[in-house]
Amino acid sequence: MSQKAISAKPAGLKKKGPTFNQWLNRQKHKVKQAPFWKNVLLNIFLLILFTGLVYVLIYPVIYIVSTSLKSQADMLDSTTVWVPKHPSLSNYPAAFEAIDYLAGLKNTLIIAVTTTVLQTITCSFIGYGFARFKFKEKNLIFALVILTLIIPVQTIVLPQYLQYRTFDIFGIFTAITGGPINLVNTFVPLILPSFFGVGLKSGLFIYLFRQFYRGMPKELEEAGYIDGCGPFRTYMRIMWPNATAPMVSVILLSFVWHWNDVFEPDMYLESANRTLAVRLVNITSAITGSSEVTNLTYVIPTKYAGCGLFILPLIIVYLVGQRYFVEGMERAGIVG
Amino acid sequence: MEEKKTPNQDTADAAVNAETKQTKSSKDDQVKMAVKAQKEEKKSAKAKKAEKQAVEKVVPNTEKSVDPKAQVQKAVKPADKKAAQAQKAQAKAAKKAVRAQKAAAKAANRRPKKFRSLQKSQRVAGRCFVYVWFVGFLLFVARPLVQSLQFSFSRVSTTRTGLELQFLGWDNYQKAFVSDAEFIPLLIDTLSIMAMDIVMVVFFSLFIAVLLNRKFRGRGLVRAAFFLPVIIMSGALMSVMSSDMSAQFSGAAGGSGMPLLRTVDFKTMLLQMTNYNPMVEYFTNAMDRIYDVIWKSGVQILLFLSGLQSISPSLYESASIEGCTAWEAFWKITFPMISPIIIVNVVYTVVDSFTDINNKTLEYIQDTAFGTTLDYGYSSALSWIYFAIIAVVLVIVVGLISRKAFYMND
Repeated sequence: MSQKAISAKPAGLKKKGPTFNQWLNRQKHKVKQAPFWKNVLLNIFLLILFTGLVYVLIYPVIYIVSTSLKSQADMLDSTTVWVPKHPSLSNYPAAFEAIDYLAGLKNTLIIAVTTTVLQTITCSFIGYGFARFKFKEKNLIFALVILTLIIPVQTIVLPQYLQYRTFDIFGIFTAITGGPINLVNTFVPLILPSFFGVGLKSGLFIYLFRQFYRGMPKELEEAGYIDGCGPFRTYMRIMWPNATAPMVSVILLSFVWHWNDVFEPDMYLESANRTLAVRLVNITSAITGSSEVTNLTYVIPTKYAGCGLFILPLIIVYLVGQRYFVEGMERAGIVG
Repeated sequence: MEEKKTPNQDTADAAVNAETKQTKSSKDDQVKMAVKAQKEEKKSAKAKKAEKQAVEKVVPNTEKSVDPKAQVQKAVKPADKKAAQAQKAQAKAAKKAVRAQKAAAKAANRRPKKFRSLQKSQRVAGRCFVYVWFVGFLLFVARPLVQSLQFSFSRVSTTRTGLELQFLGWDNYQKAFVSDAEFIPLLIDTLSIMAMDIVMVVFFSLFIAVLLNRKFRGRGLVRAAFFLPVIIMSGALMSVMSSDMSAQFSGAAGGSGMPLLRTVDFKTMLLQMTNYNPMVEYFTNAMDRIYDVIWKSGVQILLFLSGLQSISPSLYESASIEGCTAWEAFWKITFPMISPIIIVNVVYTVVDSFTDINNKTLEYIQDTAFGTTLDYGYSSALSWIYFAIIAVVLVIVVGLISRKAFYMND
C-alpha cells in the first residue's frame, strides 16, 4: 500500500481517510487516559479519607503529648483541651526519675535488639526450609509452627517458669555444676527461644518468610545449582539478599513487639533487670511512692510523660525504618 | 696321530648336532607347551576355585596357592632369554587375569553401588533447615504444653515442696461446659466478634495498603500514622492509659468496646429521625466497629504493603500497554499476586483476635489462674478448650482459602 502511495501521488489528489474498520481498530488500541476532573475528584476523596483516618490514628499520640506538657494548673482548668496554657516541661524529668529511664532503656534495648536479630536470621532460615524442600513430615511440622502462634501464653506460663527455675537440658548442667541452674532474673528465658525460632510470634515470621520464598522464581535457584552451589550456599548468597521486603517487616514488628511485651519480662525479671514496659506499668506506684494518697493533677501528666518517653524510641525506629519500603523491587538477574 | 674326520663323520656330527638342537628346541617347545598347558590348567583351576568361592560367598583366599612363575622357573631353566621373557610376560598376564577375577568375584559379592539421588539430598537439606525449629519446639514449647495438659486433668495445689497434682480425669472439662455459667457466653461472644473482625479487617487493610502504595505527597506520614496502632495497642501503654478516667471518656484509650464520643449524639439523632431502634443499634454498632477495625489493622497493612512491594512493576507496565484499566489491573494482577499474603493476614487476624489482651475469654482464664481463685488446673482446662476451638477455626478458614491462592512459581 505504501508503495502505491509513493509511486502514484499526483498533486491535488485528496488524501483518503481511514476506513471504518481501521478507525475502529485504532480506537481499541489507544491507551485510555482518565479525564482531568476524575483525577481531581479522586485526589480530593483520598485527601478526605486519609485526613479522617490519620486523625483517628494519631489521636492517642496527640493526647499523650498534650497531657504530658500540662502543668497542674492546666489540669484543673476545664477550658484547656488540647493546647495547655501554661506548658511545662517539668513532667519529663519527674517521669525520667520515676521509671529510671536509663537502666530500663538499657535492659529493653538489649532484649529487643538481640531477639530481633536472632529472630530475623532464624525465621528466614526455617522459612526457606519450608518453602523449597520436600520431605515427608513437612506439613505436619508446619502445622505445629502455626499452632505455637495460637497457644495463649497463660496456658504455658507456669510450666515454663518451672522449667527455667530448674533449667537442665539433658543433664548437662548437673554434670558441670552439680545441679540445675536458676535462670530466673536473667535475660536468658527471653532470648534463648528466639535463637531456635520459637520466640514471641515467631510462627508468624516463619510463615511470612515461607510465603515470600515460595513466590521467588525457581530459575534463580537453578542458576545457582548449575554453578555448583549447594542448598546452604544458594540460601546465603541468592535467596537471603533478595528477601529485603519481608526482612524489614519482621525487623520492625519484632522490635516493636519485644519492646512492648509486658507479660514475659514481668514474669522473669526483677527490679534492676526490668524492662521499660514493666516499669511503665508500675509507674503510678513509682511516682507516688506507693502511698495511697494520689494527687491526680500531679500524677496524670507525669504518667503521660512516661508514656511519651516510652514510645519515643519506637517512633524514631519506625521513621528510620520505613524508608526501606522501597517501591517496586525489580528482580534483578532474570532475563526473558 | 689324529685321525682325520671323514666328511661323513662331519656331516654325521652336524646331523647329530642338529638333532640335538632340534631335540633341544623341540624339547624347549615341548617344555613350553607343557608349561603352557600347566598354566592353562592352573588358570582353569583357579577360575573354578574363584567360581566356587563366588558361589559360597567366601572372601577369596589370600594364600599363594599356585605361583605360575615359580613353576615356570622350576620347569625350565631357560637358555633362551627371549623365551624366558615371554614366559615372564605371560606369567604377569596370568597374574593380572587372576587378580581381575578375584576383584570381579569380590564385586559380585558386594551389593551394587548406588549414587545419592537429588531427591534424597534435597530431603536431607530440608530437614537440616527445619529441624532447628523443631529442636527449639521440643525444648521450650513441647514440655510446658505437655505439662499444662497434665495440669488440665488434675487439681493443682501448691505445697511447700512444689506443685502437687491430684488426678481428676475429665472433671475440669465437665465443669467448664456444664457448671460454669460464664465461660460459654464469653466464648460465643468472642467468636462472633472474631468472625466479623476477620472479614472487615482484611478487606479494609487491603484497601488501605493498595491506596498507600501509590505515590502521593505525604505518603510517608500516612504510612507512619497507620503503623501507630501497632506501637500503641500494646500491653504497657493500654494498661496505663485505660486506668485513667479522663482518657476513657475522650476516647483516647481506643480498644474494643470503647464508644466514640460522637456516636452518643449521633445515635440519639438517628433515633429521633427514624424512630426505629434495631436499625439504629446496628448502625452505631457498625460505626464503633469501624474504629476497632482501624485500630486492629496496623500489622495487616504493613504485611500487605511489603507484599505489594514485591510485585514487579513490569507486570503493570505490560498490562497498561495492552490497554488495561486500573480496576482490571487490580483484579487481574494485584489480587492474585498477593493472595499468599492474604492467607498470612487471615491467619494473623484470627490469631490476633484470639490472643488479644483485651479478649474477654483470656481475661477470664487469667483470672481463674492468678486472680481470685488460684485454680490452675481449671484454667488450664479452659485454655485447652479455647485452644482447640481456635485450631479448628483456623484449619477450616485456611483450608477454604488456600485452595484459591495463586503462587506464581510453584
